[in-house]
Amino acid sequence: MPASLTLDGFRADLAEFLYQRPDEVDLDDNPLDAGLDSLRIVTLIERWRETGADVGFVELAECTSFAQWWQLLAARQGGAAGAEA
Amino acid sequence: MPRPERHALLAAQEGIWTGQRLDPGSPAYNTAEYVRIDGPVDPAVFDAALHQVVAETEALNATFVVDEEGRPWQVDAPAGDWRLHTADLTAEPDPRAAALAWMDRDLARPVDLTRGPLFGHALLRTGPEQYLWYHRVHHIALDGFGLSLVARRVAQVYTARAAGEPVPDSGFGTLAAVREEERAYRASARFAEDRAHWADRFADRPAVASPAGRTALPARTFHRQVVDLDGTRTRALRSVARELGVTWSEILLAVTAAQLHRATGAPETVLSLPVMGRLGSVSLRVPCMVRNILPLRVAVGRSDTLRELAARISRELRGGLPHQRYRYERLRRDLRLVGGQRRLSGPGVNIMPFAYDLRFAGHRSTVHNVSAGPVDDLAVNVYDRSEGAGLRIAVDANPELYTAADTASFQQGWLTLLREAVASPDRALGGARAGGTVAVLDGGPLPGPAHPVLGLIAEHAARRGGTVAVEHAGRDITYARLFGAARELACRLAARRVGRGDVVVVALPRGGDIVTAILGVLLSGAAYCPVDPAAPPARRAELLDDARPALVLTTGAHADAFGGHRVLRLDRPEPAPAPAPPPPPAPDDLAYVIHTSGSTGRPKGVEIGHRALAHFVAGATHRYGLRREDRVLQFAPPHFDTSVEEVFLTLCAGATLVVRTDDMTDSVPGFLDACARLRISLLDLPTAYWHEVAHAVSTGAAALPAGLGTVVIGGEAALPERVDRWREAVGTRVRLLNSYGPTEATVAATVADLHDPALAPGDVPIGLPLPGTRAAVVAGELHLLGDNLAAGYRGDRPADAARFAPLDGLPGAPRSYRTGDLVRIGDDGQLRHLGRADDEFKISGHRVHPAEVESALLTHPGVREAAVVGRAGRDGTRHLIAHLVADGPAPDAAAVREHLRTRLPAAMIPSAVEFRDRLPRTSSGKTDRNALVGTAPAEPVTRAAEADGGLERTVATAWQQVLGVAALSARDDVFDLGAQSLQAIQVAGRLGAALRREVKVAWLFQYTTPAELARFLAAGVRPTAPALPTAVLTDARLDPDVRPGDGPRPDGPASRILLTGATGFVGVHLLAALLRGTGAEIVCTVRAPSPAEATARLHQALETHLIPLGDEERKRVTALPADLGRPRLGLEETLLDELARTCDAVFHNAATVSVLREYATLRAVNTESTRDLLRLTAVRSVPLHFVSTLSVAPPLGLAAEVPEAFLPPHAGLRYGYQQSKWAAERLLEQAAERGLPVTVHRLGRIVGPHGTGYVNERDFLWRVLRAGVPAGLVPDLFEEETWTPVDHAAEALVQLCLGQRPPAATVFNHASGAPVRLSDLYDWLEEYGYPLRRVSLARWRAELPRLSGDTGVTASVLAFFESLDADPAEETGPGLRLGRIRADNVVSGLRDSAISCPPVGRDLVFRYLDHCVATGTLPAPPTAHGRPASPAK
Repeated sequence: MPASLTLDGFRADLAEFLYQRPDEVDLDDNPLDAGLDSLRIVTLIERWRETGADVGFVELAECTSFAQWWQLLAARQGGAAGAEA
Repeated sequence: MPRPERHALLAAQEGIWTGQRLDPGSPAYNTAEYVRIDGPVDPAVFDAALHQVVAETEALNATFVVDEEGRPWQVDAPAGDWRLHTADLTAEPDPRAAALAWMDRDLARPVDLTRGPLFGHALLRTGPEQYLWYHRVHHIALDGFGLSLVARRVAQVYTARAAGEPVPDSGFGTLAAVREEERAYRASARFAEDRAHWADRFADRPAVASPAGRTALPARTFHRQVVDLDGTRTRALRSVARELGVTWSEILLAVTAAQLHRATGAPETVLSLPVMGRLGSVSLRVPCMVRNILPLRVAVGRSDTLRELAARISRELRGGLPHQRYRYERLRRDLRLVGGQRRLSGPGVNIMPFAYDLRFAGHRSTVHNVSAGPVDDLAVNVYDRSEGAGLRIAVDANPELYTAADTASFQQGWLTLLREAVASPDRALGGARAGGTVAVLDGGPLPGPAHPVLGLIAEHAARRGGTVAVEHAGRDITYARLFGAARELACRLAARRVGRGDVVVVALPRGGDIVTAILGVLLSGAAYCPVDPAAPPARRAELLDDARPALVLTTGAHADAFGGHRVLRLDRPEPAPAPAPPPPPAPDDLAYVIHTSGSTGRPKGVEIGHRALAHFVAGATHRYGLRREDRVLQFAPPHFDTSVEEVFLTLCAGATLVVRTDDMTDSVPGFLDACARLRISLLDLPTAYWHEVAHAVSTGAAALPAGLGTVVIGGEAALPERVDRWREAVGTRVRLLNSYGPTEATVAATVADLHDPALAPGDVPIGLPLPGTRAAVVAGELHLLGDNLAAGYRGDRPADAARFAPLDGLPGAPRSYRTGDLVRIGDDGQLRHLGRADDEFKISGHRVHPAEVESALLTHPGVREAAVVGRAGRDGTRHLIAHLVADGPAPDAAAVREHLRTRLPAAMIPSAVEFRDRLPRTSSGKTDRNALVGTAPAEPVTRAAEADGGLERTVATAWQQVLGVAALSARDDVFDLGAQSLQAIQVAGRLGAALRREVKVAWLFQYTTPAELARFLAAGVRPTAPALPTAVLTDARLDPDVRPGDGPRPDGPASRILLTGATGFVGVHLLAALLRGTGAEIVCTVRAPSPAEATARLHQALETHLIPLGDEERKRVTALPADLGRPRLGLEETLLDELARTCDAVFHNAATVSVLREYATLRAVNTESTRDLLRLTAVRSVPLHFVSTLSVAPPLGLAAEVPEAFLPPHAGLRYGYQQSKWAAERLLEQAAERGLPVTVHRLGRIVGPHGTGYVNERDFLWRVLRAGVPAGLVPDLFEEETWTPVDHAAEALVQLCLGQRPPAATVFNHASGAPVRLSDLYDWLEEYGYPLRRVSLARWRAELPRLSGDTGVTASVLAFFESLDADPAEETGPGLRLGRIRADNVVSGLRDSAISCPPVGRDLVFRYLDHCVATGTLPAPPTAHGRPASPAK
C-alpha cells in the first residue's frame, strides 16, 4: 500500500492538476474557481483512495476550499494519520 | 383541500420545458438507463424500495401547469399509485433483446407534464439470476447526476430492506434549497462576472461548424451507434492522457474537434459540453435538473497534433469551468443567438465519469444508458463503465440532419482518429501529413492519348472538310472554311509578330467569327483571352491591364474601346500575307487566359496550357459521350470558360456547333422550341438557367426537344427541388450531367449522372473526377490533381498562386489545386458539395469574391468602408448585400449601385445596399462577416416595415406586448431584440388565440421576423413561396443606357399622344377620354397587317363598347399597325424614330391579361414592350404613363396595405401575369430613379361603364358569375372589394396624367371608390331573380362541373383555381386578397377636378345584368326581379 497522504503530497497532486508549482497552490482557493472538473476530482479521489484516504465525490465537491478537502482527507486517513493531523 | 404549492422552474427546467413545448407530443425528453443486476432480486422488496425512493424524491412528485400568461409552474403533486412493470423474459429466445425492445416502446411514449407521472420503472428478468432495472425519467425532473443519485439510493434502500435492516436516511437536500441557491446566484456578483466572461469569450459570435452544415430542431428520436473501448484501449488512452498532462476526457474532446475539422474544414469548432453544474452546490445531494451546457471554442488546424490540441482544449476548459453556472440559454439570449439557424455551439461531447458501482443486496451491477435526451446535432456520449471495463462510446445523431449511415461513419472515423492519435500523439491530426487519411477519388484512365486540340480540328478539316463546323443564324461554316479562315488569321498575326508567348485579347460577341478568331490565335502560337466587348469600361481596363495583350482582336464596333492597344479589326479585310504558317504550339504553351473574381479585389487571369486543354477535351468528350453526329448549342458567352467546353469538345469531335442567337433565351418554351428546330442533341446550360428549364418542363409549360440526348449543367449548386422535378418529369430519357469545376482545372473537374434512378430524392452529387484526373479530399476540402490543372495565374499573385501546391499527403506529393470547396464523399463514392471554405459566393454562375466588390465600392467617394456578404435564401435565391459606412452624408443606395454598374459585371452588383455607423469587428479587428450575414435583411420586403394592419401587425403586436418593447417593425428579428424561448411560447399562444388557428412554437423560431412569420402563416402549410423566376428578375433590369437623352423636350399641351392597347376594354375608354380631354392626335398601336385594317379594328372596338365619336374626334385618331409582342413593338426603325421625335406623351395600356399563362408567354407584350417604350421616350424625356394592375401588390398576408409606391419583389408574385406587370413597373421604377417622367396607374376591379351598363366580360369576377349564376351556385370569394367603372377610371387617369404638369405623383392606385361587399352583390343577384346557393370556394369548385356541365366558361374558371397551388383544404382559396389599398395620390390628384367616382351599387349591377340578359351572356332570371333598374343617367 502506498505511503499515506501528506500535506505535501496533497499539494503536489493538486499542483499537477492545476498546472501550478506546489508552492503556488493556495489552499483557500475554491476548487471550482481553480478550474477543476468532476473528472479531475474523480481522478484525484481514486489516487487518494490508494493512500488509504477514502472520500466520496459528493463530499469533496461540496467543499468550497482546498483546505476543507485536506481536513476531510486527513480525517479519513487511518487512525494514526488522523492523530498526527 | 389546500391548494398545492407551485414553484417557479429552475433555469435548467425552463430550458427543457421550452424544448418540450416546441414539439409537445415528442418523447425525446425521456431519458432512461437500465441497471443490470447480476444476482437474484426479490421483486416485492424491490418494488417497496422503489416506492420509498420515489416518495423521497421531491422532483418526481411534481406536475407542471401553465398560467394565463403562458408561464410554467411546477406543482407539488404526489406521484400516487404508479406501478412497477415486471416481466419475466427468460423464456424469450433473446431475453435481453426483448427487454431492450420493451424499453424502446416505453421510451417512445410522450409524458404529459401536466399529469405525470414523470417517470417509469420496470424490473425485467432476463436470466435465472439476472435482472434489468429500467428507469425512465423526463429530463425536466432529473439530469444524469440526479438519475445516479436516485439509483444509488434505490440500491441502498433495497439492500437494507432485503437484509431486514433499518433504512438509513436518504441525505437528500430539498428543491427549495436549490431554488434559493439559484436565486442567490442570479443576484450575486459572481453571476455578473460569469456573464462578462462569456460575453467576452463569444463576442465575435464564432461560426459553428458541423458536418450537416445546418441546424434543425431536435427530432423525436435519434440515431445511436454504440461501441465499447476495451480495457486495453482505455488504458492506452488514460496513459497517453497522463503523459500529455491532460485528462482522458480532454483527449476525447480533442479527437472530436479534429474529426469535426476533417469533416467540415472549419478552422474552429464550438463543442457543446454538458456540465453538471453542481460543484460547491447544495444540488450535489438533490436529485433534480440543474445540468448546464458549456460552449467550448476550439481552434483546429490541420497540422495540430494531439498533444497541442488537447493542451489547448484543457486551457480553454479551465478558463470556462469556473463560469459553468451561467446558463447556456441565457448566454444565447445575451449573444442574440436564438432562432433561425443561429446557434452558440455545435456537436456535443458528454462525458460521464461516474462509474456507479452499485450493489443490490451484495450483487454487482452495471449501468447502461438508453437515452440521454434529444439530440440537436451530433453527440458523443462517453460512459465510464467502472474500473477495468473500459469506456462505452455512444454516438447520437439528429435524424433531421444525419442518416444512420452518416452516424456510423462519423463514429468509425472518430474511432480511427482516436486510435491513431493515441498511438502517435505528435502526429498531425488534420490528415494532410498523416498518410492514409487523404481520400482520393480517381476518374480512371483516359480512353486514349490526349491529342492536341488543333491537330484534331485540322484532321476534321482535312478529312471531312465539307461537314458543318459552326452554324449561326442560318449561316453554315464548314470545317474546311473554318480552318482555312483561322489559318489566314494566324498568318496575319504572324505578320504582326504575334505568336508564342503572347496573349491576344479577343473581344467579339458570340458567333462564328469568334470561333475563327480563337482558332486563329491558337494557330499563331499565342494564347487567347476573351473579354466581353460589352463589359463596363473600368472593368475592361482592369482585365486588359492584367492580360497585357500583344494585340486586341475585335470589330469596328468595339475598336474604340481599346485605344492604347494594338488592335486588329476582323471585319476589315486585308490582303493575305505571304503564307508562312507559324509552328504549332507546344503542350507547355498557353492556350487561353480566362478571368475570374479575385480574392485580392482584382480579377485574376487563369492561364490554361495546351496540355491541360487537350487533357480536358479527351476526358470530357469520353464522359459526355460526344459524337460526330452531335449538334451542340453554343450557349455561354465567350468570356465564360463553359464556352471552351462547348467550342472545343464539339470541334474536336467533328460535331456541329450551333451558336445561339441573343433572343433565343427570351422564354423557356421559346428556347426549347428553338433547340428543337435547330435539332440540338447536347445542351450545356448554366445551372441557374436550367433551373428555369426544369421548372417549365416539370409543369408542362415547355417540352424538351425530341432529339435532345444530353444536358450538361454547371456553374453553381443545382437546387435539389429542381433536380427532383426534372427526374420526375424526364426520368432517364435525357441524360442530365452535373458538372463541377473551377476555371483553374480547365472548365470541369467532376461530373455526376443526375438522371441515375439510384439517387435518392434530394441527393445532388457532383460526381467523380473526369477520366484522366483525380481529386483528393483533405480536411473536408476538395483538391484537384492531374494534367488538367492551370499553369497558374497571369501576373504576380503569390497569395492566389499558393493554392497550387504539392499535396504532401499523397505519394510523390503531386501538384494540386486547393478549390476552397467543402465536400463529402457519399456512400456511393461520389462527391457532394457542401459549401465554401472562404467568402467566395456563387451567383448566376459567377464566382464572386466579396473583396472585389468591396474594392469597387470603395472607389465611390461617399463610401469609407465596405463589406459585402452573400446570402442564399431558403428558396434558392442568392443575393449580395453591401454593408457600407459612409464618408460624410450617406449617398443614395441607387447611386451606389449605379456606380458599380460602370465597374462590375451585373452579377457582382449587390442587390441591397445598407448603410451603418460602423462595421462589426472580430476581436482581432477584422470585419466580422458572420455578424453581417446574421444581420443582413432576410428578404427585401422593405415596405412591409410600415405595416399598420393585417397579419403582420397582429404578429408584430403580439411580440411587442410580450417583449415589452415600444415599437417593433415587421423586419425586426425578434431574437435580435432579445426574445426568449418562453416568450416565443407566449406569443404562439396569443397568436393562436387571435387567429383562431394553431400556431406552432417551432414556427416562431424558424420565421424570426413578423414579416416572415406573417408570410408563412398566410401561405398556409407551404413553408416557402417559390422564388421569382430568374427570367423575371433579369427582365426587370433596365438597361443602363436608357436615361434622359438630349433631344428637345415636349413643350406646351400635347399635340400627339401614343396610346397602346386602344382596342381593349380599358383602352377604348382611355382613347375616348384622351380625345375628349385633349386636342391632340392620338396614335393608337393596333395589331393588324395594314393601316386600313388597323383603323377598322379600332372603330369596331369603339362600336362594340358603344362609344360614339364625332367627326372631329375621328380625325384625330391614327391607327398604327404594330405588334407589341415583337422587338421594337414590331415597328420599323424609322417609324420608331419618328414617334420618338413627335409624340409628347405615351399612354402604355396594352397588355395580355391572362391568369393562366406562364410568364414566358406574357413577357414580350407586358414587359419588354415597356422597355422599348422607355427607350423611345427617353430620347426627349417624353412622359410615359403606364397602366398597371393592383394584382402586382403583395397580398394581405404579406403586407397590410398596398402603398402608392413601387414594390420590391415579394412572395405574392406567383402568376405570370402579375410577374410580367411587376417587372414592367420595376423598369419604370428605374427610369424614374434616372429622372425620366413616368407614372404608373394600378387598376383594380374595372367594371363596366356607368353610362352604358356594358359588362367587362373578360373580368374574372364576371366569369365566375357567368359560370355560377346559371348553375345557381356562387362561391365565397372575398369579403369586399373596390369596383371602378371603366369610364371613370379612364377619365381619372387622363386627368391625373395631363391635368397637372408634371403629375403630382408617380404611382397611383385607382381604388378610391367605396367597396362593394360580395354578400351585397349576391343579394342583388337574388333580388334580380337568380336563386343562388352561396358556398365555400372548395364546394363551389367541387359542385360546379356537375351542375353546369362542361362549358368553356366553367372550364376556364375552374382551371384557374386549379392552377393556384394553395392548399386545397384552405377554404379561403387564393391568397390574392389585398390589404388596405392606399389611394391618396388619386384622391388628392382629383380633388380640384370635377371628376368623382359614380356610385357603385344595386342600380349599376342591375344595369349590368340587364345588359347580360340582353346580350345572352346570362339567361333571363326564372323570376322577374322586383323593380326594373333605373335607367342610365
